[in-house]
Amino acid sequence: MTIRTCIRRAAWERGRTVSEVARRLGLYRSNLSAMDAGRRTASLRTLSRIAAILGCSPGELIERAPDGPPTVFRTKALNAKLAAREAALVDGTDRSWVHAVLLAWQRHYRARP
Amino acid sequence: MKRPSIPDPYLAVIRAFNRVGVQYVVIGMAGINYYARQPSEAFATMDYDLFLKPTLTNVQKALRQLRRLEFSFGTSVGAVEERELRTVVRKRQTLVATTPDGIMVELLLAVSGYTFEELAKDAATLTVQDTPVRVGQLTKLLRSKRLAGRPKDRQFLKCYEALLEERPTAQKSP
Repeated sequence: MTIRTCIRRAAWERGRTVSEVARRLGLYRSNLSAMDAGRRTASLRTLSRIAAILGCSPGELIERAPDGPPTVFRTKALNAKLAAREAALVDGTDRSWVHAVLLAWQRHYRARP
Repeated sequence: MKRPSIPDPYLAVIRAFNRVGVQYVVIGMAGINYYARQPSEAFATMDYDLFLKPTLTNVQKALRQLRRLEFSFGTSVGAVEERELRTVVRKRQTLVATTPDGIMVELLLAVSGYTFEELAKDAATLTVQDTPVRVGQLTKLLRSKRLAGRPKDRQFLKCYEALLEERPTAQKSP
């Protein structure tokens, strides 16, 4: 079970924005977004400060992250297409042309004034 | 831009890493491009992102190989000395390796949403001129961009969405 914060939702429900909360905490908005995404751990002290700003309890800022495979796009159809593309590339496939393309891009953009 | 002194500097880096057992995974736009079905589906990128296992030994090993290939290094705050590497690894700072030809390889020690082990465990092993190249799973690479949430990542994901839907898209430059 993964636990993450839900600062954005809690702020939105109270008519506030994450940017505003971040500003008052003296943090970057991306720090709070990282906590919501489960990429950064929020300390109890930070949670208490956010709760004080939003007028809620620290417990209301925590939720269980949804289980299941990670998805990238909003629709099932797109995620299915993505999975198919991934599955189509089997180990050992030769991708030499990718390097040729990468180097061609390099030459093209670096040649620009 | 001068022609690179090494015909394919990216491949040279991968070969050197494979030879000495540097633990890496190709990520970012470069990694995503390996999943393109044809050249027209590749996205322009000026760098080649490698996620290195964030241990001092592994990073030292990688830098030794890059130095041999005449790359020079730095972080966002400037050049890096050997004695500063421990701090770079501890802080998971990104190292940028460049050649005088203008070829750039980014060495990342942390990425959004995944640890090195999570990306490495199911990385695809593709080949470039018979050299194995470890590339992160497409879903994970895109999801990492989604989690990073930078404007350029969001813009890229919109383009990728259009690519999957096979809709024409105008924007493909970096």
